[in-house]
Amino acid sequence: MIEFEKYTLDNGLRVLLHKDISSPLIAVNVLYDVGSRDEDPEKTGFAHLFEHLMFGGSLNVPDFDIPIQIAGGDNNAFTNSDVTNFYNVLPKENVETALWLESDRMLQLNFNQEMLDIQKKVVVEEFKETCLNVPYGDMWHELSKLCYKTHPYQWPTIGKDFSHIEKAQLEDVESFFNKHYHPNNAILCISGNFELAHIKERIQNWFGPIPPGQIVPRKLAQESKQIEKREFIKYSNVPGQNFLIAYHMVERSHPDYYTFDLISDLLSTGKSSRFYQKLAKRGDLFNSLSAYISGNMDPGLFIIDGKVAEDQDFNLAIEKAKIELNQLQSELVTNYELAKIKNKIISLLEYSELSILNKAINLSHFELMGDANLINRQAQMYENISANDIQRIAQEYFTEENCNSLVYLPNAN
Amino acid sequence: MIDRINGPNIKEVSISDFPKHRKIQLKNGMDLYILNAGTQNIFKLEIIYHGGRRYESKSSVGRMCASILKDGIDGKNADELSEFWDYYGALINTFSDLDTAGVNLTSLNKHSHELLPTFFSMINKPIFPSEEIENKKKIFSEKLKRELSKNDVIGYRELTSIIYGSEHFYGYNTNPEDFQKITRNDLIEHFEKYWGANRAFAILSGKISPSLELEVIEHLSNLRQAKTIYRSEALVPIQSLIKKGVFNYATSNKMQAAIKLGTVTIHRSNPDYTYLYLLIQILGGYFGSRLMKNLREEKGLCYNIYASIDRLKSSNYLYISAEVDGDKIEESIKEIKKEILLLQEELVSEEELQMVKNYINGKIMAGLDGPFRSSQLIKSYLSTEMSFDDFKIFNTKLSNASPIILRAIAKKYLDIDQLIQVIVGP
Repeated sequence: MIEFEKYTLDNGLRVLLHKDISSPLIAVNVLYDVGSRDEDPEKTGFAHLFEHLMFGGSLNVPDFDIPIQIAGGDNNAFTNSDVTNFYNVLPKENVETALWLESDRMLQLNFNQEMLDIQKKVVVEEFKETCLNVPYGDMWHELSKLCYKTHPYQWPTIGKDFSHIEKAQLEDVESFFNKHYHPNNAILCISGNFELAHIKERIQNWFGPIPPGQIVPRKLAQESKQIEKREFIKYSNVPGQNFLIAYHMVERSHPDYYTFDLISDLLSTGKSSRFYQKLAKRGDLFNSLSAYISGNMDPGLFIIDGKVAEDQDFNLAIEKAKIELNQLQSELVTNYELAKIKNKIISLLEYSELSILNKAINLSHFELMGDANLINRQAQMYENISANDIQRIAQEYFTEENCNSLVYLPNAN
Repeated sequence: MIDRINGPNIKEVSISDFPKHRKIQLKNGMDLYILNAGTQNIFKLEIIYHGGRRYESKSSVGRMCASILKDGIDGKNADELSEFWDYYGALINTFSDLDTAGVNLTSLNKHSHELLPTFFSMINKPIFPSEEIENKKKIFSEKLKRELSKNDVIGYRELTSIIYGSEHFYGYNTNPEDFQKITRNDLIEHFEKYWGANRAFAILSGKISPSLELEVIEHLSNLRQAKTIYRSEALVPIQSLIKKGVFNYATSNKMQAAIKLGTVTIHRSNPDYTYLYLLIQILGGYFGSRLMKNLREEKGLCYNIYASIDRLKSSNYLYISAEVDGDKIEESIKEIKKEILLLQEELVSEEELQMVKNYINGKIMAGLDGPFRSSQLIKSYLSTEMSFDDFKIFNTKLSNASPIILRAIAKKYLDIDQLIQVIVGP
């Protein structure tokens, strides 16, 4: 049970406070409700570029790294399709430094051409390092494009193409900031070793005066139901045959989300999982085979990720993986197996609560979904899943019409 | 009122104490360290053996040996074991690094009674099933092949191999075909010689009840003995390892090049070590480091660049690592060298020094957040045979380090001519 206090400042900033005095540290997390799904299709990669710019200085703070480092802390951020999340972990004595930095960049970024030019170069390097320089690096580009035809999930967070980043102008950046970076579009969560009345007063002082902004409600083109199987084979400079099979699934806040997650664990978490036992263990057909969900706020993907062993027929490998999905449709999971997966999930939830930073990030995400207290109901959501739920989901979603298959084959062949 | 221009007053971060723990010497001579802390009803039991790569009879025997323990005991084959751990939501890991090898179990406290007997059977009487060994060889070999398509991985392997030599236990690399040469007997022999109470210590961390403690002590006291008695290992002499040169490796992966500049350096037991560590942090050990500021933030030459000291039991080496555009190699190396020279010629400012000291103190504090992290600190000290008192000495030296000391250290230990250059890519 994670206890927390929740309230909203007059400017609309949602605040979550979770006290944990067993740690000498405090985590300060700021989540902005903006991700790559909010980008213009011709200007992709902006949300992520912004994450970088947010470290380039704000109205009153020329350098973000120096103060946090003097305070003995550390900060970083991540961006995905749905959110941009900034976090700081520092010794409890110096929590206010993080409040100063986070509130100042929420107030006003310091836009300048030089900073933009540098960060554009850094992001382009990151693009090359993670998407072009590595085998399979463009796999997410290909998969997103294959699965989504109208929804902005059709491009990955890093952007469609690095030319979009190279073309970014100062005015684009300013307008992106003004559109999304406001207190009423953010969630502040602090967890760790603090005194409640004191931290509330400090939050009010630093964040209270920031004026709210105009937030245009999100209106994204939703993906229409896929009615036909899609397939794409790519020959590339890769060391082996890999594939991704993706099925459209439900949104993050849907009760069935937990069933999809449980199915992915049943198939591939741990060595007793079905994929490992039946297909991956011997290494003769697969080097590895796993299942996971993309976990998006809007309807995301249930993904089967296979690395096929050398000299094996990838079609056969895909067929074998699909047989496992078919089995979920035709046979009910036993009580024993269901209990095992639930035990496993509940243990993992407990392990994840060891870190104050994890707790702060998770609380913020659940609040974004509508209610931070969902964090305490997760275990129950998994407990409630029945064998029939699994069969129902498998029958409804793991169909050929809903299937997207992406295969990478080495060039030489 | 708040002062947005200057920000809040920053308080000096207090130096952390070494994590509170108890040490119990068991009747078989083995030491058990207990860290009782944390809020969740979870425990982690870790047993560390002096049985890593340096004791291998053939390449990767140590790693394979650690990994195969999970694959069978009397009465439970690999599948049944996996099923067993998964049923209780327990995490079980084996590891084998250059010096040590070991195994750990993480679980909810309420399952300890069911789990511990099986955990100890695994490290007392593993059965080394042939079929699983054959599988593992194939999987390890495939995995390695894939790893070898990364420029960064190749660069790291080549650097250590050049520093220590391709025959030395810190230097040799495993090739995908090496796994086939390993036999079941090699693994059994390695296990019998090195995996025993007389070459091990254990750490129990989490929310530890008296009954759990007793249960663990009982099991540990009956841990099997290894055939080879452990004696402390001598340090690898530095002088023989100092080399220079530029080594280029062309790969098909041409978009970016991996650059590694490195050399063997002083051991953790050397009185200058803390200062060198601090200096390397200033150069490239954190986000605002000299190298990051220059190559990433000012020139946009790379996305990531860092400098680090890898600490082994008998030797240390330092290196600078970056991935840059194929046509930016020369420029990047020039800038890296420029930053090193700057440290030798000019004094670090008091402000920068204080900042990095605070940063390191904060890092140390973060490493003590929660019982599992603290146990990793204890593990690292014991694995490299450092005394816990060295923690305090390190902290004291850190706070005493001055710009003049650091400049002298830069001259003494960062000789640009002695940096081996490994370039992998175009």
